[in-house]
Formats: sequence, C-alpha cells, structure tokens
Amino acid sequence: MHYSQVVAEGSMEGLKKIFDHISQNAQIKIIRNVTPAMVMVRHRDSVEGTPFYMGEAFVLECEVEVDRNLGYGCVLGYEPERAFYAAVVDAVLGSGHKLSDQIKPMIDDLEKALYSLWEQEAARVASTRVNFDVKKG
Amino acid sequence: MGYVAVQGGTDAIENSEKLSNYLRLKGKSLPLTVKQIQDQLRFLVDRVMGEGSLYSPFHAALAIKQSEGDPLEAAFYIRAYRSTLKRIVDTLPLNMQEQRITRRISSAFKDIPGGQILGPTQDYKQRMLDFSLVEEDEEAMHKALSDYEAELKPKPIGEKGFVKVVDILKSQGLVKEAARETEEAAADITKESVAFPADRSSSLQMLSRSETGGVLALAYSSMRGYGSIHPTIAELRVGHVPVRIPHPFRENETVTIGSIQVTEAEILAKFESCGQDEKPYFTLGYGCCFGCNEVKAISMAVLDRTMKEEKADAPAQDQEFVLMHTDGIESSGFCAHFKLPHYITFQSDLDRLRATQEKKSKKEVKTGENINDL
Repeated sequence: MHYSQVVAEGSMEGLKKIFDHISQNAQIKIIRNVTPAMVMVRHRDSVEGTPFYMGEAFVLECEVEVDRNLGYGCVLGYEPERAFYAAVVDAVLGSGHKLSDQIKPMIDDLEKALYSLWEQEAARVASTRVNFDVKKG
Repeated sequence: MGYVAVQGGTDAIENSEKLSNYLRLKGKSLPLTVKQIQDQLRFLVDRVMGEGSLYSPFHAALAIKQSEGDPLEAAFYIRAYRSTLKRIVDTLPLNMQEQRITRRISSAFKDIPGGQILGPTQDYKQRMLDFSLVEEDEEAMHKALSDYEAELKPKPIGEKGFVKVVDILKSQGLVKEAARETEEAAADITKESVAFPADRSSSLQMLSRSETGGVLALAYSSMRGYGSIHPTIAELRVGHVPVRIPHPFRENETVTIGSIQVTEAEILAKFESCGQDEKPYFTLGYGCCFGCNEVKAISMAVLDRTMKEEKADAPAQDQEFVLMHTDGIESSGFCAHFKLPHYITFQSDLDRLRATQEKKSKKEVKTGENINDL
C-alpha cells in the first residue's frame, strides 16, 4: 500500500506520532496552508467502457517543506491536521529525506493497524455470505 | 407565467428565519451533532452527497442538520457549496477491482464467484417499527457494539479482485462485447451544457447526480410496462474504492487521497439482435453513484438501458425527458420558483379571464334575448 493511502486512511493517533517525530528532528515550513478544494471523480462504466464523471469529492490540500524538501498532502474529507501531516510525510518519504529510514517502519505499523481494521470488517462482511436454497414444488 | 422582482419585507424575512430556528429548538432536546448525523443517518448522508454531487460525508451531514432533514434542500446546499470550491484535478479512473466489498449480490444467478454477500442490508427486515429504539441510551449502544465486536475474529481479506457476472456472460457469448470507447476524455456537464441526443458520458454523469426519487419514478414506469426492458440484476455491489490523483510535482507518481463508498449496478435486459442473421444477446444497463444508494444505482442502470431504445414510445425511453427531469436541484428549484411573486402575469391572466367571461355573458344575454323574442 502506498504511504499516501496509509496517511489518508490510517489512525490519526499513529499519524500524529509520526508527525511529532519528524517535527522534533527537522525544520518544517508551511508553503501553502491547508486549503479546501475538490477533485473530479473519473470512472469508466463496466458495460461499455464509457468514461464519465461521477461527481466531485471534497479534499483538503497542503504544501510544506521539510528541510527544504517539498511535500504535498491531499486527503478526502474534512480533517485539516491529516492534510498537513500528509504533506509532511510526503516531504520526507517522497524525497528520500534522511528521516525516511526512521519513518518507514512507523508507516508500516500504521498500515498493519489499518489492515487489521479492514480484516475485522472483512470478517463481519463474510459472516453475511449466503447460499439460499431454492424451494422445490 | 413569469415572476417579478419585489423589494422590502426584510423584517418579515428575518423574523421568518428566527421563527424557523425557534421551531427547531423549542423542544429543548440535546443538540444534534454533525458526527451523529454522519454516523447514524448514513443513507440520508449518502443520498445528499450523491444528489449534491460532492462526496463529503461531513458537509452532507452539516447540510442535513441545516435543512432540518430535507434531502432536496440539503443537496441544494451541497451543490451551492460545491460551486465555491476550486476543482484542482481529475482523479485517475476508479479501479473497481480494488474495491473493499461490503455487499455483493446477483439476482440472475444463485451461485456467483466469491458468493453472494448480503452485507449490511435492511432487505430481510420486517418493516415494523422498532420501539426499543425509543429507549436506546449510550449504555445500550456500547453494549450492542462490544457484544458484536466480541463475536467475530478478524479474517484475512484474501486476494483483491473478483470476477464479475457480466464478464462471465460475455465470455460465454450471452452478452455482446461492446466496442469499448477508446476516447479517454469524459464529457463534463458542469462545464458544457448538454445537447440532445447526449453522449453516454454526459448521460451517466447526469444520472449519477440525479435525484433518487426522480430516477426511481421513471425506472418504475419502465418496470410497470411503459417501455419495459425486463431487467434482472446481474450484480449489485457496495464497497469502498481508493481514489488517486497525479502527484502535482513528481512526474509519474500518484497520491492516494483516501477511499470513497460507491454503489454499482449492472442489469441484464431483454435480448436483441441487430440483424436477421445475427445471434441474439442480452443487453445491459449500468448504474453507479456515491455512497450506499441501491435504489438509485438500479434505477440508473434501468434508465441507461431504456434510453438506448431507438424509437422512444414511453417517457423512460426518451433521453431528453429522462435527463432533464431527474435532477433534484433543477426540479425542486423550478417548483420552488412558483412561490415567488407572479402578480403581474397573474393579473394579466385575471384580466383576460374577466374579459372572456364578460364577452361570454354578453353573448349569452344576446342569445337569451333572441330566444325570448321568439
């Protein structure tokens, strides 16, 4: 899973820990504050392959520099801190910053926790699997 | 009939707004939080997001609170808010094979690859009021939650991807493999006015942001026989799919910005053949919308298919009729405009009616005189 997805969907608590670690060991400069915007959701129908737009999705985006390495954060939903943290993580992991080696295991942990949540959800969904018997006569 | 501009009435309008707010608050119940609406009124939130054409559960929940639960009004707020935001980029096309499925059923086949997954459905509930909800408190909610969480052990998600029913039918030659459109760019009705006949890209965009009741009414008219296509649900899926955008300053890199929930429906419809010598095939319809809204996705798929009829004999087959009458913001806005002052045009109607009545009365008197003369 790409780190941007982990940051976009992982727990805020875990993400805050990652941010704290970066902020204690590097200089963070905000280039563009967290700003609301939209992205247009593009899709292709599965019947004829026609491309079409389903509608827009609300996002928050942000740009930062971490020790002069540029980072971009963009996340769905209304969580300003998450957009900011996403930009900070992108600046570190996307540019090969010296903190990358320390941050990657933390992202891995966040991913595992996220995956675990999905597994719980998968178990609940799987419990609704059905095999109806067709009535005879 | 046209409306006229009026002025004044500021105090009355302000008082009217205060009165509305008073009616919302006078029961002195606890404030309804946006989070509560987001968590506990999921279907309403999804409907408002879809019809407002902006995926954002937070803003949809806020709009529901502000509109006091009126879905049309809430969708209107969302559509208006949407117009204040900058659109930064198009996403990459959604990849449904990555969807984390929460529901997947087929009414065409009992056994489908991966099995039928009911998911969190209300379909098998008796439609009886649950009076225990009246007494529901925090303790009861926490207990229900912890009991349920203790019941299940996590299960490996397994391999991503699934075989679609439609693809199986295509491989068996029962559904015609449509010539895939190669054009990458999608039409955008928010930038260019739609012209009829509309291309399918515009049509699908309009349907995906249409009002649930509107598409249901027209799809139902087809189901009842007015332009029937005999639909069967090949597959209905609900799930979360990741959304990606290009990285703005790193070429060939993408950013996954999170996941959205979508409902997707593929329907099989009556079979047809193009020529006398050609084999007949099932025809297909497609529906897809934001959130969990099965009625809308199915209705959209039905209408996608009905509108393909070459000769429109029923409203559901007439593309312009369907697409121009199913947008909730357009239709409710037009309906609401009748509440605006129409004094002058109505006065004109009154004048004409009175003149016609007077003319008619004179004629009757004249006719009556003639009869009396006889």
